Amino acid sequence: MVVDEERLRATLSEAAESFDIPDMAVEQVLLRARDLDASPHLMSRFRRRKGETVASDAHGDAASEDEALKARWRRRMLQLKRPPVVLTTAALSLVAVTLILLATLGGLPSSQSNPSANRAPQGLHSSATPGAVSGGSAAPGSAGGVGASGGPAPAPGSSSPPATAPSLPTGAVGQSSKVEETGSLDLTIGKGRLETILTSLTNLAVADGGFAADTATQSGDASNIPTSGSITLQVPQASFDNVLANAQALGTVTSVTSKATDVTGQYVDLQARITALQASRDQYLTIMSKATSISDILAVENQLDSIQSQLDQLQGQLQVLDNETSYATLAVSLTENRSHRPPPSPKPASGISDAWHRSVSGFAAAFDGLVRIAGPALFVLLCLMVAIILGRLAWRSARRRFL
Amino acid sequence: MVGGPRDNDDLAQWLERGYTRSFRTACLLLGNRADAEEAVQEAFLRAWRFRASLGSGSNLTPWLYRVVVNTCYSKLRDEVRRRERRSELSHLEEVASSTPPPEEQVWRIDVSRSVARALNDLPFHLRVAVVLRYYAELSEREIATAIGRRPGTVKSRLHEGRRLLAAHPALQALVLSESAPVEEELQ
Repeated sequence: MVVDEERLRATLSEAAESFDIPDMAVEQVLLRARDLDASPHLMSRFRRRKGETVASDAHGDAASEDEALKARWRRRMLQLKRPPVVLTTAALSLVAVTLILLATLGGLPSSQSNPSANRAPQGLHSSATPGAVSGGSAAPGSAGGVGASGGPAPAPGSSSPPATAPSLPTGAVGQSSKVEETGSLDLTIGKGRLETILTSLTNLAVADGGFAADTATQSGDASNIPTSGSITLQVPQASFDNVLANAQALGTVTSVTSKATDVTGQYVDLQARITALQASRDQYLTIMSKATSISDILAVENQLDSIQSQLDQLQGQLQVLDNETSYATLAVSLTENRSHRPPPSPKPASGISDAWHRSVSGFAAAFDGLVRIAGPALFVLLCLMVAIILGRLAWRSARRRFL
Repeated sequence: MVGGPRDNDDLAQWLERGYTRSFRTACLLLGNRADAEEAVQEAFLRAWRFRASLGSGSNLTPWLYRVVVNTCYSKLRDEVRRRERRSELSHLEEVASSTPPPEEQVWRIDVSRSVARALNDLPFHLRVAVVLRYYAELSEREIATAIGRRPGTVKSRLHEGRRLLAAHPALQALVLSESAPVEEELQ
């Protein structure tokens, strides 16, 4: 049941008429209003506030001359502005959460497993062995079968040795580190997959600019000896980690070692000796051009032959060392499983499939990261949503209660 | 209060014409004559100050009532609440204390007492809707503009307000006493 509109209208009018209009009230208001126009400081204050308050709402700040009234208005404005404050706080929190999430996402790559992350700095040995690990210590000059076989500087024999001191070899000062990197990997593979894996390993090396230096296979018998094989891959040092990681995915890893040897000293020594021999050769060539007797010429020629021989030998060693520091060596031993096992997983056999494999790995890593941050992010978002909803509900409730 | 003022004199006349209704609207909302006078005065001063942005036409009246309502709300919250309901029927005390009511005013005082009591028991948002609609004669759309809500909200508030008023004992008695002579006449 509701009150009849006309009756309510009449009742309210009746009740309202009981309130007598104050004498001269409207005249006083208008007089006071006109005084505002005549008061420059009040008007300037109103004009200054007019643009920022009245244009938006009738709730504008009361620029009254009464300080108490102003204080009340400020309180009211603060209360009425609560929803924007809540929303602003929520927005700022959202921005902060977004920044945190971005920072978390940015930190993901560092937390991903990276074969190269476990590797020691160049010149130090590092090993990563899932099973039995065999590590070796770095021994300068012993890696790669390259010996520093150069003897002492050749004496010029009966002739006087060149007086000029050998100049510092090119590149000795500021010589970049020469690191020889080697690794070995033992894999157990499925029965009958030896040839396939060998081809895949070769393709891996070729795809990264390397090559297969050595391949050997050994057929087993039905009883004891399993079919096995080995392959030595030469790959650019920059691709070593990638090739090692991909090779590990081709079978079950039983052992993996990697070793980095700093051969900078050996390299510089070879360069110095080559430079010294070249200087000696130039001196002997000068002497020979001035020789007048046959015996002198023959003696100098013997020395020249000896120097040239040493020079060729040292240059060869330098070339070998250069190659070994440019290419890393990965020796992979493959042993077929006795029992037939399904292949571990389809392995990339070409550039496209390799790219696809990497793409899938990247997707999995990114998804892993997303799942990791999803929990905290969801919690923060839920908190924000609850705060916003509660704020809006409180504001609406307050407004509904009073307006 | 239809049609907007063009200059200061027009505005003065417009405010002067609307003062009585605005004042009594504030009285009904606050139940307090002194606070109502202050509220209307403040609203009018604000209208004068911001007359450059008042605009004209049909939005002017809702704007003025919006200021009045907001000022009343502020008064109610800051001052009337502090008085702890001492304001209830205070205007009647003023009337009673100033001059003894003549005989013809007794009925009006009874009406005012009942309406004031019923309105005072209404939530403020319902009170605003009822007073603006049935005393200030604003349309639902104008009330919506004045209080910043949708017309549908105003409509539901009006209905709720009328329902609560009908259920209120003070106003129910008034309605019954008013309807009794009508029924007698019909019989």
